[in-house]
Amino acid sequence: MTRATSVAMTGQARDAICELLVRDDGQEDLCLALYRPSTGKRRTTALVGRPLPPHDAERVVHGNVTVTGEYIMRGAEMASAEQSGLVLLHSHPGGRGWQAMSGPDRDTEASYANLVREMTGLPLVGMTLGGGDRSWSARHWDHGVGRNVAPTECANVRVIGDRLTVTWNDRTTPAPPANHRQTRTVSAWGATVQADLARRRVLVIGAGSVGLDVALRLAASGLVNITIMDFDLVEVRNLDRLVGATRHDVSLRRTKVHVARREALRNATADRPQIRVSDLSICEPDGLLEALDHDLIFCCVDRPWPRAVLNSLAYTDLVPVIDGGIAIDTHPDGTMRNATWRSHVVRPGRPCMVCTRQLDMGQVALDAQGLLDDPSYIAGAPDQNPSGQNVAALSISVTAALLAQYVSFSVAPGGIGDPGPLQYVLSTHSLGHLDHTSKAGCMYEAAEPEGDQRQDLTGAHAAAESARARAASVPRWIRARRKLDDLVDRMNQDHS
Amino acid sequence: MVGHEVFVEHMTRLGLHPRVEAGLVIYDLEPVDGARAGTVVDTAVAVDELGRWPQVPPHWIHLPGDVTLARTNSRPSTRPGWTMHSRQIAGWGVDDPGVAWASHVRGVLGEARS
Repeated sequence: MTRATSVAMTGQARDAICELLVRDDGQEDLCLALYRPSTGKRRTTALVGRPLPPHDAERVVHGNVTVTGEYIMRGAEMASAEQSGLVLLHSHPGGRGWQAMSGPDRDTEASYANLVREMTGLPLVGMTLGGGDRSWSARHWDHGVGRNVAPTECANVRVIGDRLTVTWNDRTTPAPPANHRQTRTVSAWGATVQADLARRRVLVIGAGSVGLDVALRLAASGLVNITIMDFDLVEVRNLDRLVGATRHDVSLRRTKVHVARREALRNATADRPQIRVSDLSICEPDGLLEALDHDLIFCCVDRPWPRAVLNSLAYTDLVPVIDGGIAIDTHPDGTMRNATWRSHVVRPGRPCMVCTRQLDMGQVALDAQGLLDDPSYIAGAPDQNPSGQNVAALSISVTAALLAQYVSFSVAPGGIGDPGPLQYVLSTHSLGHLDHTSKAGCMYEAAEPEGDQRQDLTGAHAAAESARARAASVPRWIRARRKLDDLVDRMNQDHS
Repeated sequence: MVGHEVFVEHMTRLGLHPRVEAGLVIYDLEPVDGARAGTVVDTAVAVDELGRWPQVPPHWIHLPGDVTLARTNSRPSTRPGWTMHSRQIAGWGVDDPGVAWASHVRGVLGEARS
């Protein structure tokens, strides 16, 4: 099966490239840039970094534009030295939307594709800027050799700035049709935005009170491709917050992702929703691979290790992460003192979770070693165990805060993208912008995307392995009962 | 380079003479406070804990058994006669990782009673 391909870049890289490609005289132009591959389970993304401006004699502008072999050689040598790939970008000044390749465009890219792959070990990536609306199109020259070299058309090109701007390839990824169930939604932001949002591949990490609610509301909004990742089973102590889960789910030892998928499907408005589930942990190598196939991630987990992995990939692999959480303070007598919930988008250009003090890297090793679940360790260090207070009546506010960040980051109402870190204080009922900035010397906010060369923070996750083993080791009568329930669920959905 | 090799490089840069022995990176440190102030103390970190260095700092500080700390959550070290102490480092991720780690361990050694 051919791997899917895509391209992602920061708003800063986009601006630097547009500076080179958009000319005052309206002629076409070109430039080169370096990229790093980010390899997911089913998709490879080229993470475009800084451009390499051409010297005067390295391209000829004559209405159209012609690249010289010298420029390609210089770019490929630099890419090779920096263990990067090479991108050949050119502009179609009046073009709008995803651009088809003309014969000369194809011939030019094909003529250098073998050489570039030979020199860099990575496929040449071709990109076209539609100057009319600043849309992008792209392809990876990743199969065939010699005269048979050929491109794989990308599914999309994503620019991560104050908003997530996506140009879609309608041929590989057509917009799902809006339907009568989505009339009110489409009327809120228009058919074009709906066609964009509905196609985005969104991953929800954590299917607890917040993650479950986020997933079903995304499904209700018409998103087609939603993945929910969690390895936990539903337990009795979850029932006061996991809206939709029942005592019956506990007795059948259902996983949280099963319940989340069931609830998301019940609320989905797309004609053919694809709600996938994964019982992996984002801390496991395969969990990370799964995550890299997505355009956007919701972080609905509070443990430091998964948060550290997500914090990293927002910068190294340009997958924006919408993050939030709740903290409930209690008095010594157990009564409530206050509650605060926060939300922010973790992405290049915004401070990371460490700089916003939403992640303590000193706790990651503890979590990775399973010590946060180890009673003998906790007994000796009671202060190091994260507090677990949560209330269903308030967790919905965290969901709302995350989804509001999502809408601002995706739709930019009034032209304003993500608002930065926000905090709501329950006792005073005040919403405030948090004045966090990236700290000098922050080692997590990589200046250039690293992709597959990122430092690997994943590893074997004992808690995930144990939960999967518990889910798998159920008596036959429970399996039979699950199948029966699933059948009833499917029949109900078919008739809804 | 893998994590513990980067750690060794960082400790070398600080002149702490790191060496890898039986699954530990052992290095010299001279505390400025506590019972061991002014004397060089061998301290160590497990190689297994350094896989994600420098992004993720280790948790356990391995010390010779005769170094006693006032308040500690400890377990036997993999090195005979040594003890590993649970200590969480605060504010990780901004400063030079080698310097931050050495300061952290110096602070812990400053608590030494013997």
